[in-house]
Amino acid sequence: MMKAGTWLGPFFCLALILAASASALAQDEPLYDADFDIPAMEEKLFEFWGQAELRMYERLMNRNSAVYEQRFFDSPKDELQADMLFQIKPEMSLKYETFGFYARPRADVGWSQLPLSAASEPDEPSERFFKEDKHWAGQVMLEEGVASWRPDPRFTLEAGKKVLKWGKGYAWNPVSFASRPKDVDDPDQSREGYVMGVADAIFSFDGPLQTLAFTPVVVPVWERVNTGLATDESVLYGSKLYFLLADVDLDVMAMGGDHYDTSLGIDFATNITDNFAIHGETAVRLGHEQTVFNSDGTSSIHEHDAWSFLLGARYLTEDETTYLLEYYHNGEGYTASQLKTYYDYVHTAYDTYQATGNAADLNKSKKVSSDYNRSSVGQDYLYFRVSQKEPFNILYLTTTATVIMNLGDRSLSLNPEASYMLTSNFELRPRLILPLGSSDTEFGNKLNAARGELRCVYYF
Amino acid sequence: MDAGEVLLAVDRNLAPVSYESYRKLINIEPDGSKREYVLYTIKKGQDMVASVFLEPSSDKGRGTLRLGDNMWLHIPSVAKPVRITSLQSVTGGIFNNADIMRLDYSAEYTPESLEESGDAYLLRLKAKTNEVAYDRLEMLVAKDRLVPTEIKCLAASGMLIKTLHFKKMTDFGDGFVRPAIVETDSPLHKGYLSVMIFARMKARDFSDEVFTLNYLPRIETLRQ
Repeated sequence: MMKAGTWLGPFFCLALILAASASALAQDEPLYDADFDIPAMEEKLFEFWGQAELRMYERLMNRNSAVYEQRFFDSPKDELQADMLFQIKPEMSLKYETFGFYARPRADVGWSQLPLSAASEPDEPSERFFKEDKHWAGQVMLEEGVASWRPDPRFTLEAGKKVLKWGKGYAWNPVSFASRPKDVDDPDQSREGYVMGVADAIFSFDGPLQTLAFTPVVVPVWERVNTGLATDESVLYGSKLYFLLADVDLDVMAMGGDHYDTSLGIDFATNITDNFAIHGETAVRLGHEQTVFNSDGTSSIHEHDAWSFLLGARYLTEDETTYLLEYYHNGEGYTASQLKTYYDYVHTAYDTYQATGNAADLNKSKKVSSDYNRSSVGQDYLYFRVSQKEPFNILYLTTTATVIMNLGDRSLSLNPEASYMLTSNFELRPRLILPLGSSDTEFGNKLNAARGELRCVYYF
Repeated sequence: MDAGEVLLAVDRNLAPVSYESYRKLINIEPDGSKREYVLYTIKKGQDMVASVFLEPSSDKGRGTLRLGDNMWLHIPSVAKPVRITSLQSVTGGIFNNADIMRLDYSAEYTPESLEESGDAYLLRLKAKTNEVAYDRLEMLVAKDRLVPTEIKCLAASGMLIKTLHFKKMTDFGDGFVRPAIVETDSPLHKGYLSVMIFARMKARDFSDEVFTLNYLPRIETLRQ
């Protein structure tokens, strides 16, 4: 099974590359055809498209990390581990007069050489669907499925499962109250929505206030629907007010309900010059209860108003180099000393286990792993991304380097990556993720010392 | 006719005040390989334009909105619309956002001079602000139909950035006749050719609200 999983991925990917290359080279025709078909005009009622993706990972384990020690203390693993994920994401839309429907289901099949258990919270969101120490995992889910009614360009009513995209930040969105958090290693990845009802009313004006839009939202939380958004069954009510005022995008948003911390937020974005834009957002979550792990292995609840904010800037040079810088203060995060307490405890508990065989302390630390092992667990971060379009005049190639730094403990993750559209419907995305830091820091305690990955994406 | 009148006539002969159209963009590389993109575009007045990619599927649903100097890009399933600039290229190749989301020439340029050259006018234009992608334009305008046949796009230094060649006069209906093909080459990208082909361009009125950030993800639903 291990060999099949290891060889199947590269073989499949190579076959896709060869097929895509062959279709790209098979061009023996006039320079271009001046006539073209308007897509789907005859069958405009229904459209179907999407993407299939194969991801292959090779990970170098950080066997001195807290996550590794906590999860694999009684079953040591090889230093090199391979993973594979096949994902298919069709999209379909249906339109009839003023009514519309859009759906994006997703099917995943994953294989991991490393048995990834749900017993300890993983530090990569992509691992979450591996259960019960299995090598194989699969799931089918609906990322989005929304019915809409648009009686007028000024008004839209939507109901279903939807990704609410509130906020202006690229890597983080503290004002995105009813959305799943972004994967900071891959903020562009599509996400699963929540079930909700959304209305949208738009008003345009002449003068400094060009646009005003009001977006009320109702989000029910009950049984297995939208769990995690509130601590118990409840109905959440939220709204966003958008202004385009004197060339500045401004949003004011709020969300509240029973068993939910009332949240308020503001964001903005504007261009200072044609190639220099700034953005920011701030949010407060009232009465947020934070689990804090103590050095004696107990945990306590610290209630406070969690205030978060983000400031960012994007600069584009004439030769299409884009610089993106974001500073993020996470009011729901842990200070460097709180994280150090946790990591030190896990390392000591692991040493105790090795000396005595007693895993009691490690099990105590596992109880807070869902809080302490999650992504962006710290309080202050810097996100810096440099992206170069068409380097060395290679058309359809984009190279990017990203640094994510926890400013509290000065640990960081260095992520070089590239994206190349081999043909108009086939993309290759190699990437490396290198967490760097000492044994008492966030990135020094990631499961991987390094992770290389190759994504092959076919668009249909 | 003076330079200003010729420029206004060029704008109106290239597009109605408010319209919808389909466009195919083709990037042709020196080895002959090419990539094709199809867009649906709507425009209203002098400074409101919105576009959405229909093909290829890797770009499907990618929408762009321009309100004067403000420009946003929406990538579906990924994030909220982000502010972009006219200098960026959304497709790769020679076209940049300024070419794809072009406003009326008279909205962005001031005519400086008009010369007669046989059966054409040579119109020299200067950008009204530094935010415009090309500092100067040299536009050859056919006297008979008052449509451009060639436009040279120049940087502030005088360097030629690209040349647009207008071809294939086509009747789009209701007596509206304009070139259906714009070929673009650039000394900065030797051997490369980018082509924009227009289809089904027709006058259509839209409410101002469709040219907003909230409506941007839904532009494709306006197709009839």
